[in-house]
Formats: sequence, structure tokens, C-alpha cells
Amino acid sequence: MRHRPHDPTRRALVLGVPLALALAACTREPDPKTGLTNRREGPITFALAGPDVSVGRQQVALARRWEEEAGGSQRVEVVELTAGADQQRSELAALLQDGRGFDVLSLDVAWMTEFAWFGYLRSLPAAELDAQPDSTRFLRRPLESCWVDEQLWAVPYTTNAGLLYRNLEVLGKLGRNPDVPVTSWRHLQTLAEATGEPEFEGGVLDGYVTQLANYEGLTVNVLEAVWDAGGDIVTDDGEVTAAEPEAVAGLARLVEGLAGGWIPRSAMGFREEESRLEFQKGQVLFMRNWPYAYRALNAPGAPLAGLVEVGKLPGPSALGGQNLAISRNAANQGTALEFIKFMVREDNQQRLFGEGGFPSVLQSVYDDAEVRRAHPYTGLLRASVESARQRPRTPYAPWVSEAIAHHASLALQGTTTPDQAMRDLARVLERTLSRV
Amino acid sequence: MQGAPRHRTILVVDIEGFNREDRNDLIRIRLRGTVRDLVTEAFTAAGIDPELYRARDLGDGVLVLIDPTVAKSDVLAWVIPGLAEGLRRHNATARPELVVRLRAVVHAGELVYDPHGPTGAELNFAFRLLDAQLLRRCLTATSAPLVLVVSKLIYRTVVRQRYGGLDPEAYEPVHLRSKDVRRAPAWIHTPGDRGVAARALRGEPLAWPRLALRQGGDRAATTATAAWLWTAQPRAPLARALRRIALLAPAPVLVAAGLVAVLWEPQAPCGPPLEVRVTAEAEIADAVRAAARSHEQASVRDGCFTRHFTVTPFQSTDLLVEALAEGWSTEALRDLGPEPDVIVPASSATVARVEANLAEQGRTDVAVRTLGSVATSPVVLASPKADLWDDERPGWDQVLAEGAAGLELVRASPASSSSGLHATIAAYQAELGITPNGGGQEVHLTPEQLQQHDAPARLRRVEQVLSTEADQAGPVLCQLRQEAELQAAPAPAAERPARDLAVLVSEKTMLDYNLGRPLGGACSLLAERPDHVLTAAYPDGLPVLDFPYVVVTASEWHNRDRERAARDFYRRYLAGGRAQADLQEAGFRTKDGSPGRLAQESNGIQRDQPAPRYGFPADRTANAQTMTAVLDAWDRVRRPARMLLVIDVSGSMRRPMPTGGGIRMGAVQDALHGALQLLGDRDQVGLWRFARQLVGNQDHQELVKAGTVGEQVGSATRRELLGDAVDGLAPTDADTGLYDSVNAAVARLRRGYQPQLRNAVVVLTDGRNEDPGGIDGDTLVQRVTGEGAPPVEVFVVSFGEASCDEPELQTLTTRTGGACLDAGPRGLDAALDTMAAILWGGRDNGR
Repeated sequence: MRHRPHDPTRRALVLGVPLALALAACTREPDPKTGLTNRREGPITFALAGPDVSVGRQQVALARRWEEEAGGSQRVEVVELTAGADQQRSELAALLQDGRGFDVLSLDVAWMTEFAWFGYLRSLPAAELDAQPDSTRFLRRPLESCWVDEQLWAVPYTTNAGLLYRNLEVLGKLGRNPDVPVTSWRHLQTLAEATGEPEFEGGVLDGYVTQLANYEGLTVNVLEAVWDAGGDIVTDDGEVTAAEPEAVAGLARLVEGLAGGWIPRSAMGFREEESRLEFQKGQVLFMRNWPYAYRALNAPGAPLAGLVEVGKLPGPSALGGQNLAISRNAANQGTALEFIKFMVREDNQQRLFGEGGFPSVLQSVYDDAEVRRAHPYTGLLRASVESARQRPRTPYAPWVSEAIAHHASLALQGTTTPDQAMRDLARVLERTLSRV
Repeated sequence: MQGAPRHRTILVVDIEGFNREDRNDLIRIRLRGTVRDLVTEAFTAAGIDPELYRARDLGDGVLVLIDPTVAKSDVLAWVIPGLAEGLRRHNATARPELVVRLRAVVHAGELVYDPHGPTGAELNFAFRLLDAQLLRRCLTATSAPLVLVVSKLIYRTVVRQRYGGLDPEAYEPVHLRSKDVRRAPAWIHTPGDRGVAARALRGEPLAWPRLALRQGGDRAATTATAAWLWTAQPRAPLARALRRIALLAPAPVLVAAGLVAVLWEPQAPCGPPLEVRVTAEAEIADAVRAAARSHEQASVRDGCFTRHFTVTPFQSTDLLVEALAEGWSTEALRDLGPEPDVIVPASSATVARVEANLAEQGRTDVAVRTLGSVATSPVVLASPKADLWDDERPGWDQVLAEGAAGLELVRASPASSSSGLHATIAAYQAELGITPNGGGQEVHLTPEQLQQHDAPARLRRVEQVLSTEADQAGPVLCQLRQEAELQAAPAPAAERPARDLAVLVSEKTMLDYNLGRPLGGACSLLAERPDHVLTAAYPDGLPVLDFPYVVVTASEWHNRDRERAARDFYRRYLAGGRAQADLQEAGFRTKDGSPGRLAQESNGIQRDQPAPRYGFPADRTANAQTMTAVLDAWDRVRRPARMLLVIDVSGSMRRPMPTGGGIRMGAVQDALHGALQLLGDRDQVGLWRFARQLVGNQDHQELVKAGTVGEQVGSATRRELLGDAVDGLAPTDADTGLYDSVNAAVARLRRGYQPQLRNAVVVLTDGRNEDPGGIDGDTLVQRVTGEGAPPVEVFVVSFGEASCDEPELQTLTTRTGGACLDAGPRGLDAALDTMAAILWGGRDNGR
């Protein structure tokens, strides 16, 4: 009797069990629901976005845990890419173009559109992952970033939003009530400007530090300033609005801060860590940074432990974080799907957040008492993430992002005016986006 | 064997425009290879065992006969979409003449085999279907890469039954005509497109909307289309997309076909830009990145970016060389960044090192090829004092002499930075008395010369005047800038003296400093022009950095398109006039050495320096060996030591030296002053004197407590204290209490032992042990060489009555890894050179 090639049990009758297993391993049958190959076993690789420097290497530990739970039948090799987001994107894209690479990718939300658009990824079964657009399982913004062109290309993995850090001691020196939250940029500016008034003793104070070096972090800061001023650079409809007065006003705020001296010029060399280290010296009133800085600033023995408070940014934050996607080149897509389901399971998300400090993407985790104890900013962070906005969603994001940082940088340095910088930027973006 | 007919599923594909005029035979061969590969790939991906099908080359296509045990639905549901996907992927980055589109037919029937292959009426029928005019026209009505026709048999028995999830709606019924076939019913399916046959029948041209994110309403439709075209399981979005386009487009546009063609350019949406990974020396990374952005703009084709370059700076030559030789491990991915397709180091010297390392590791799978120089910049001696040198080309002997006299000489680490390496080679060359001929163009230092007897001691002296402050040149100057800013506040510029300093950096980095440009890292912010502009001197032997553009290919994953993109960037852009002018503005000289507008005296630069190119005239391997030897020597001679100097002050030290010129004590003092020059600020050193019962019953006395040489101790540095103590040494009337003192000194170094340092006791003595009440020779040997105790090397420098012929001294020293050195007629200095050679020359003592 003849047998169908992809029917391992019947093949086994004819060819013997060992051969059948070998053949089963190279047979692919579509899963009618997911469209993925239906094997749910077989080794996979998992590329992390940067070295896992969390306490106890929580991401790596979680991967090991997955293997253990499977009782040794599953294998995942964890590969840590270098720390820079541009570098991660570059390596992943090049490997994918060569028809190889890692199977499960931890992808920065900034590159989602590009990777989905150019077909680097497998689309995922939304229902199986409870990740339909109306799902209440995931935080809304991170989930949104995974949907491109009405298909699901990833699941949210970790999320991030900028927070406003305040030095209570400096606030006290200025004679301000530390309990009053900062609700607007104008409010922030008034307080920050006060640090420059000469009657205060206690050394030279600075008002506000943030990431103004010429890189992705500057793009984020400029977008946030522009959004807060009521403008945008590229709208969700793809319209370039960088030259509109509101957008110019946003950039001008940062330029004025530098000119007014309440943002130190050294901030033009700062990325995240430099900002934190400067703030930690205790002479700066405000800092914009990601939640990671909270733990470092409040570590036992740190100079400002107990003197730092966090709040929401006065305006919307740019959405940060990572999504988990499956490479189109993955051989064992079924395994990969099982793995990402595991990584976003509630207990594991709790562990990643509670112990590793990776803000969770699940609604339920934010209500967990233990997580709230470990991270006092939990509620605040959820609110910041839910009101966060996506950076321009275009397959040409690397160009768009770099153009924003470049032109803003010229304005910050005083080489050009905010108005001119934004008009130049608009022209470049028009040209870039018309090409997609 | 010819015999009974066998049932086979028949798949035939035919390459569109195989004989087109822009394709020559070489291209046709490549096309055939591509199609064969993609067909095999599609079968493999569908999980079909290679035993179960046979593929035959047809010249302009491929015939595949598939075993009936393979479900026909698998062929339609998996092989065909897989093949289409493979074609899309290939076409996304292929040159126009290499873009492959296929017509395909699936049919089935009985075939007979003779020795020349299969034949049969059904096979002929399949070929007729494939030849049909309408099918050819279908390809012109779609941008999809594959159009499939299936026979009535296949449609009725497989598609219409929806086996394997097939969707009959996606198959358009047509009648085909061709040779011998007057009107055969057939069904046409185009993975990734619908209504193709209908368009072909109406004679409509391809009508793809040009994608534009920014045009509000169209966006949803066009993005959907694009996603659909580039992803694995498209389907529904397309129909939706086309409906939206129909709804949104103004009616006249739809009516006027001509206008359609104008407004909707017939082209596929943009494919992925080819990603090229460049790893460049930190000094030039920003300039290369800026050039890449311009080149990308120039590489736009049909409105699409076709390539993207990510430029990653590297901080350490050593790590780069190592990572390449190791095949870019996952550690390299983590610590250095993407695996490079191109590297741009500061110097060809690095390329020679890479080649040498690859050869050493036996890696034939990685190849590096230099296309040429991106830019040049001489290594200069930059000083805030404009009048430091009488000559703008000071000799190295002069430079080192100034350094010994107090001028602070700074360079970046030779292991990490090219300017640091070349500065080191030049300095070592000068110190070892090797003068390059022909105007200082070539390295004449050899590994053998670095092994000369006195080389380690001399190089260690060089290292004491030539300090290493950072891995890269940028941070060295960054520090200077920060110091200058800290001092800036109180005194007006003119009153602040320039620092007594000279830094070995590239002219480009010096210019960045002088112009207040970013210097990388914490110094990425702009600064003002400094009060004291650095002025360049160009000593002999300092080379020009040539920033070679090097394409790296790994045969295992070789992507020709990427390699071509990498080459194009250099040949079509970086080597050209516009890029070269930009590089001049960035502070470099052009690849041919021409200085730009910024190279002028007010910026501290001598425009017309004869630019000696750093050459590797004949033997690149030899030069690579020299560099490795220099780096090894550098690594060794700067290794800090933890050392106790133990000096004999017995009565015999009063006796005159046989060579005349003073007493033994005086000779020892001279030698010790020489030894102090060998010591770096990071070395930890103490000084004892010894003679029998010097302090009560104890034979030794501590004169300077052991500690870091550069450290401030009270009002003086330890180095000064050591010098003073040496000057104060005087003979006593006592006998030589040698063994007890050595024993105590070894014990002292074992307290707070530091395994990463060279721990050594250095004894200078002129007599035998004369201490009847003390420890005997055998016991001493046992103690100092004791099993398990931290090893301390013991050196004895003997003169006068002391002699290394004594077995105890020999055993004592050599078994610790040290040596007994007879000062002999060559004097104490020679003995100290030997000691240095053992401690810092990587030479053992002949054990």
C-alpha cells in the first residue's frame, strides 16, 4: 500500500521507525490555523537585543527554564547581540537577507514596520496568542506596534516609556514643594530655570538633562518635545508635518533650554548612561530617562538613594521596548511559536519585570502586588506606556530617524535655526518617504 | 528499462525572456542555476524527500517529475508558493538582467521511460499549456514572479476538492490555444495576485500603484499591497487593496487607461535595501557614515533605496583582528557588533595583521581585499607649545631625550589604535638605533632586533617616557580638552601657560581638537577653539595613516550582491571627488595626500609635509611579524613589577672598583639610579639595605617602604624617596648577612602577594654569606622555592668577592625563575639589562 509522504505513522510501517523519525523531521505540513509548519519541537535560536545585563540574567534564565519545563525535549540557543539598536537591526537584516539568521528575534519596536514590510518575518496566529487588536491581555500600545498592515508580525515582549526624574534635594534647595507633580513643559521650565538664579548656594545647579547626542535617543527627545507642543513630524497617515509651527516650537524648546543655560551644553554629548551619571552627581533638578535608571539611582549606597522621585513626562513619551518575532528563515517555526508563547506567559512576564526590571507588556502583571513592591513606579509606567506614541511607522525608519536626529542636532549646536532645521528636515523626509 | 507506463505529477517551469538581448550566455548560466536552486529549495521546504522527485534541466527551464506518492495538493499548496517566494526574495536584490520570472504548469499522467528519458502524450500536453500565448501575456499583466497554469485534470481532482486548503477562487478559468491544441480548458493561478488572466485577456498593462506612505488615503491600500507582495501568506489584503484603490481613485483615472499608466507607474513596490555592514576605525567612522548616506541617495533605483550601510566604530584593533580570525563568533557579535562586510582600519598595518592571523589560524574561508585608500592623515606629534622643537621634523632621539627631561609624551594604546602602534614602532626603532632609510618610509625593525640583549631594558625606558592614556587617540585629547575647560575659568587665556606636553595622534584628530569638534565618547559635544592650539611636528619615522577600504568575504555565506554593493560604495563614491572633498572638510587629507582648506598653519598644520606613505614594500608577512613582535614587546615591557631592592652595605663595599673610579658603593649607586629609570610609575618598589646585625639582631633595614613608584608619599613621590635613599647609601663595618636578608625579603613580598605582577627580590652584593648564626644555604633554598608558596623571583647581582659560581646562589636564583648575574667586567649596567630581559623581555633564564 502506498503512503502519503508527510504521514509519518504510515511511513513508519513501511520504512521502520528510525527512518520515519528522520523523515518526519524534514517533513513540513501546514498548520491550517497558523500557516506555520506544524512541528513544535526542534532546536531554535533566540537573538537578544543587547547583552542581558539584568540581575541574574533573567532573559537567559527564562530560556533555560523553558528547556527544563519541556523536560529536555526543547533546545534554545540564546545569542546576545551588541548593545546598539542600529547594530542589532543591521545584523538581523543582513542575516535575514542571506536566508539565514536567528529564529526568534527580539526586535526594537522602532524596526517593526521595516521588518514586517520587507517580509523578513512570519505572520503570527493572533487568536492563538490572544493578540487580536481588541485583546485585553496586552498593553494597547505595544500590541499596536506588532500589527502592520492588518497582520500580526510579533508579540509584545518588553515595553518602555520615558519618565521624568526629580532630585528632591535640589527641589528643596530651590524652596519648592516636592509633592507638586510637574504637569507641563512650562512648569518644568520655570522650575529648571530657577536653578540658574544666583541667590542659591550649594554649587552650580543644572535644570534638566536628557539624551541630546546625535543618535536615536535624540530622535526620541525631539519627537516628545514636538508632540508635547502639539505638533508631529510624520503623521500616522504618512504626512510630513515637520515644518509646521507646532513642530518647530517643539524643537525650539530644547534649543532655548540650551541657550537659557538650564539644559547644560554637555547634554549634547549624553546618551542614557551619561545622563544618569550626570544626574547622579546631585546637581541636576530634572532628568528624562527610561525606567531602568530608577534602580541604579536608588541602589543601596548610591549617592541619591531615596532622594529621587519619578513622574510622568509632561507630554507623551515615545514608545520603547521589544517585540518577539519569528524569522521567515526559521526552520522550526512551531517550536519558535511555542517559545514566544512561553516568554509572554504571565508568570514569566512577572519574573522578567520583578527580578529583571524589564517592564511587562501584560496588563495583569501591573496589578501584581510583588511587582508593585519591587518597582514603585509601576502604575506610573503603565500610564506612560498607554499614552505613549509610536515613532514614525515606515519601512524606511532608519533613514527617517537618522534625519530627525541629524537636523535637530544642527539646531541644538546653533549651526542653524529651529525653523530652518525643521524645514530642511521636512524636505528630506518628503523625499525619503515618497520612495517607499 | 522501458516498460509499463508510470504515473507522475508533472511540473514544468520556463524562464521569461531567457533569450532577451541584455542577457549573455554567462547570465543565462546563472539564471539556470538560480532556477534549479530555487526549485530544489521549494521542494525541500515543502518537506518532499529528494528521492521522490527528479528534476531535469531544459535549457530555458526545468522539468520536474514527481512520484505519485507525493500529494498533488502538496505541490500546489507548498511547492508553488515556496517557489514564488524564493523568486521574490531573489529578485528583490537582483540586477535587472538577473531578475527571474517563470511560467509554470502542473499536470499529471502516464509516462514511459526509455534510455533517453521520459516521454508520453501527457508530457507533451503539459508543454503545450506552458507555451500558450495567453500564459505569456499573463506575465506582462502582473508584477508577481510566477504564473501557474493547471490542467483540467488537476483542477477537477485537486483544486476544486480544496485539498491542502487550496482556494478554487484563486484559479481563473481560461481556454488556451497553442500548437496542436485548439482550445484546452485550463486554470491560471498567480501567487500574490488575482485577476491576472482577466487583465491579460483585456490586454491591460500592469497597473501597480506606486507606493507612497505619505498620501493619506492611498496608504492603507498600498501598504496592504506591499505587505502582501512581500510576505508568505498574502491573499485577502490584496483584494481589499484593489477595491480601495478603485474606490479612492477618481473615476476619470480609471477610465483613461493612459492616465493610469502615468499616475500609477507600472512597478513593483520597493524591495528591501541590501544591508551592508561596515566596521570602521573610530576616527573615520562618522565620515564614512555621512558618505554612505549620500551614496544611498545616489543608489536610489525606481524610487527605491537599494542599499543601506550601517557603520559601526571599533575601539580596538586587537579585538577586531582576533574576531576576524575566529570567524566572528557570538562573542564578537555581542562585544564588537555586526559581522563586517567591509572594514576601514586606520592603517594597512592592521590589514597585514588580519591576513597574518587568518593564515595562522588556517582560515581559508575568509578573504580580505583592499580596494584602496579612503583618506590619509599623518601621525603627528601635537603640542600646545608652538616652539617646542627647533625643527618641524625633530629626530626621535631628540623627542625621547625631551621626554626623559620632563616633556610629557602621550600616545594611545598600540594594541587598540593605529596611531599608537606606529608611534610605538617609530620610538622603538629610534631607541634601538635603527634608522629607516629612504626618508623614513619603511619599517626596518625586525623581531630579532627586539630580542637583542639590551632591548627590553631600553624599551622599558622608552615606555617610562611615552605614556599610554587611552585606547584611542580621541579620548587622549578629550581629556586634555576637559582639563583645559576646568582651568579656563579663573585666569585670562594669555596668562595661562601651555602644558609641557606632546601627543602622538593623527593630524585629523588634532584638527578636531583645534576646531572644537567632537572627539567621540564623552567629548562628542562641541567645544570652543582652545586657548592653546596644538601644533604638529612631523618627526621622521612617523607614517601616514592610509585608512584602507577592505572588503571582507566569508565563503560560507557569500552574498555576491552584497559584495558588489560594498565595492560600489568605494569605487563609485568614496574614491570620487565629492567624497574626497567631504573627507578634507572632515580633517583628512585625500587618499592621494592632498591637504584641504583646513590644513593651514593657524590650525597647527604644515600643509606641505612630504607625506611618506607607510609602505609594506615587499614582504607583508615580515611586516606583520614585526608588528606582532612590537606588540608583544610592548605588552611585556610595560608589565608592572613588584620589587624589593636589597642592597649590600657591608664593610667590603668600601673597597675600590677594579676598573678604578671610586668604591664599590659608588658603582652600586650609579647602577641603582639606572635601575630607577627602568621603573614605571605603576611599579611597586621598596628599598632595603643589609649587613649583619644592622638593627639589633636583624640583618636588614627598610629604607623605603614598598609601594607604587609614582605615588605621593608626604611631600615627595616614592620615586624621589628612592633616589634620595640610594644617594644616602653608605658602607657599614659589618659583615654580609645575605641569606637571612633574602629570606626576609621573599617573605615580605609574599605578604599581600599580587599574582598578576612580576614579584622579584633584587639583591646587589659583593660578598659571600658571612652569618654563622643565620639560616644556611639549603634551608634558604627550601624556603624561597617552597612548594605551594607564592613564587617570588630572586635575582642576585654579584661583584667583588661574590660569585655566581657558588652553587647556593645558582640554585637559589634559577629555581625561583630569577638569575644570578655576575657583574663581571661588563659592569653592573649590563647585569641589569639582563635582569630586565628576563623580567620584561619574555626571555627565561635558561632553566
